[in-house]
Amino acid sequence: MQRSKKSIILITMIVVTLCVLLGVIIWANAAIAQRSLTSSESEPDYRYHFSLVVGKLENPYWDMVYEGAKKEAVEEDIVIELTGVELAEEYNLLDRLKMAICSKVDGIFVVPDGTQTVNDWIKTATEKYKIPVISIMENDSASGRAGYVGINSYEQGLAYGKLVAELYENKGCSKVVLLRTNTRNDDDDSEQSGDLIYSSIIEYLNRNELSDDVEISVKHINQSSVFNIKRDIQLLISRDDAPDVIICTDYLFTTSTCQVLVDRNKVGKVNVIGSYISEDILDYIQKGTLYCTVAVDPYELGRICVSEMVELKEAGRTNDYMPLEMMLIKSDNVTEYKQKYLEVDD
Amino acid sequence: MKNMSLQVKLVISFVAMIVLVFGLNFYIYSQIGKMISSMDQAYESNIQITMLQNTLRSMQEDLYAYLNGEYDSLKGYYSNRNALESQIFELNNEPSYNRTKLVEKNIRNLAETYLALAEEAVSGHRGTDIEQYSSSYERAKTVYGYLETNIYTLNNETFTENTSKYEMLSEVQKYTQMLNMVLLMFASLMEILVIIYMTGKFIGPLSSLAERAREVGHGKMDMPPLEVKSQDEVGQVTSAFNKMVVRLNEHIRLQQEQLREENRLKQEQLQLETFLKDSQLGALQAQINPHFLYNTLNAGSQLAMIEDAEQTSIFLEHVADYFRYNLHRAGNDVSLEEELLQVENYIFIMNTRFAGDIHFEKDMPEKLPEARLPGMILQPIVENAIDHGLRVLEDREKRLVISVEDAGDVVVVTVADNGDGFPQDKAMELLENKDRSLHTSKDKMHGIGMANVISRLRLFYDRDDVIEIGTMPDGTGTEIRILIPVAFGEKI
Repeated sequence: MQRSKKSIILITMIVVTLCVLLGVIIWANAAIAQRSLTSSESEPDYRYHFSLVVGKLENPYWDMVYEGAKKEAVEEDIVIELTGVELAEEYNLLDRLKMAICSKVDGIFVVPDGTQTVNDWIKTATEKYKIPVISIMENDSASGRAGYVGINSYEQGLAYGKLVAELYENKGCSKVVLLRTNTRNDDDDSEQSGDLIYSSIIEYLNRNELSDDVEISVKHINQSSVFNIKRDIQLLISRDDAPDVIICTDYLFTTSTCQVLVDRNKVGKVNVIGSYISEDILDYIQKGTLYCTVAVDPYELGRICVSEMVELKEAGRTNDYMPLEMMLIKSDNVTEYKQKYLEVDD
Repeated sequence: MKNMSLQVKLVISFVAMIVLVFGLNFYIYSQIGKMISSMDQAYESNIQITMLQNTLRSMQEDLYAYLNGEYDSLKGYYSNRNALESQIFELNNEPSYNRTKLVEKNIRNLAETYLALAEEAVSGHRGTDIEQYSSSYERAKTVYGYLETNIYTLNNETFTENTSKYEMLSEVQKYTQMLNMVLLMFASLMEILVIIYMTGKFIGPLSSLAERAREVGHGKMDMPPLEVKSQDEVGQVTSAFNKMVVRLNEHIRLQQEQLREENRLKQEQLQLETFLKDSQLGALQAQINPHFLYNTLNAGSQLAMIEDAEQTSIFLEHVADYFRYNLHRAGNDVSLEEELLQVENYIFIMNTRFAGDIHFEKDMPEKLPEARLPGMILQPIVENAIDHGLRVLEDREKRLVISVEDAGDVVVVTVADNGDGFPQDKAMELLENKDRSLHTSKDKMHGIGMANVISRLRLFYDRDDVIEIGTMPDGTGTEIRILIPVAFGEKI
């Protein structure tokens, strides 16, 4: 009896040791495999590779647009790339567009800068490389893009006009400057023909019989660098006939103008009507530096871009023009937008 | 397992241990091998990317040289082109959210575009279409720039990734070393336990066997058999040992029984001899010197014949026969006839002594059956009948009848008298006393007593139903029936 009890204890110990041994081996294998294979997670078979080509990568607005697009793309088993990001060398819009075309992606979303070269390459992409291109925010139907998603420029101009009228009525602001991108590389600010935003502002002012009271002019600014932008804005507000309202149709114009106003202690003296949305812009609105910003929901913009491109790829057609609803963010509703975008962004 | 021999069991145990140790070492070495291989491959992708970059640069240089009139560069151009084609073929071509894979895909596609543009430039140069080849070359150069940037980026990212991978592998290596130590410790522990168990299994039954053998050696035979747990050599030895102990016990028991039987027989023989001696002693006590006496009696008989005293002569002759019989037959077995003659002699003497008042009758077949019986059996019974039954009779005739009857398997010799009868309680006491050794001094008071006769008969025939004591058919006197087995007589 004593012996058999001893045997049972020994057998139990042997079995336990064997189990521990096997357990340790299995656990170790699993742990090593888990550590070694973290980079080789299995991915679905993605159908397409789309490219988002934007003007200035430092604009956080495009990050939000990319996030919205990516969310939709992942659901559709599509890879979307923000072309040029994290590359060892910084490229301009045109190079990024060329790079996307030469990388033979399945679709391109581009924010054209209005230059002919970009438009030519959009045409090259669609015609030579058979890559469909959807332009975002800046529409030029002559470029050969397959579709447009963004703000209706006419509506955008009317919105600016309405805000100018508000400022005139509330603060008596009458000198308005519209900052536009210089796409011709000259300093000629007199040419406004074909600028739908400018003409619709004028139209709104005329419609409200303010054209005599409010003076509006256009200032073309070269976007080559942030320093150039800031320099031009600083020169503009330092003039004797400095404007009391600046309308910025671009993200960099908006943030640069606000920074210059803060730097030059001109907050309150010059009112800024901006465009786009970002944490900085919302902060400027909250602090009163920025009167208002006109923007489109970036997530919605990204989502619609992808769904439009999928439709284009699979049905062979899409909406030629897809206007999105504009948001006017002022100090009275900025908190709501901060909650919506900044929390989502987090 | 139980039926395996010790050798097979030992071989299996050792082989199992060796397999375990070998398996574990194999596992550990394969882990170390994998680790070394992974560490070797950690920067493999960087090497490949650098090679791709070098090939691309060489091709661009050769392209440029060729377009500038160095026609020998064309060979180098094509060689590098082929190398580049095979190198980019190794790159990922599927869309992915993995940054490295996506850059690989872009490089592959950019390289394909670059190769197409380069080929356009070379074709244009051959066709001397300066505008075409310069345009194609410019575009190829632009794409080359994008490629350089992407490859550089990929190299950087891969390097960063590989560095972290290398660090992770180093960490895993340390961890694996520790793990291997733990595994070896557990394996050693298990082996020790298995060795303890196996040796216990082998040595345990041997120890029990040795212990039991020692106990048996000390004469402790009444132990339960050892449990046979297996059929190996130890099991077989244990089984054989158990059988040996059982046989030893049996043998000892038989020896003891034989010894007891021998003792009993010796005792019985001794008793028989003792009884005979008692009988002889009793006879001898009655005659001081039998030889002298019976010679003397013979002389007296002859003298009486000479003197014409015929009665005296006959009497002396009977007395002489009586003593002769005592002298020669008393220690041996005799025939029934001899014994009956002796009784007749005795009765003749007694009748002569007591004036012939005992009426003696014989009732026996003409031819007496062959039966043997110990000497001096009937005479003491007759003597007892006369002394205690007939001598005291005053009122009636003293009758003594001896009959012999052949009853098949036994010869019945009946001695009957018409005396006062044998006391019933004494008869019962005599018959029921089965102790063949019983012969008391009280018996000797009556000469050779009844108890002596009964004991001798029982010893001689080795059975108890040798004598019956009852009354005559008319319910008077005493009738003693002696049952002599015929088979016994024949055997003798």
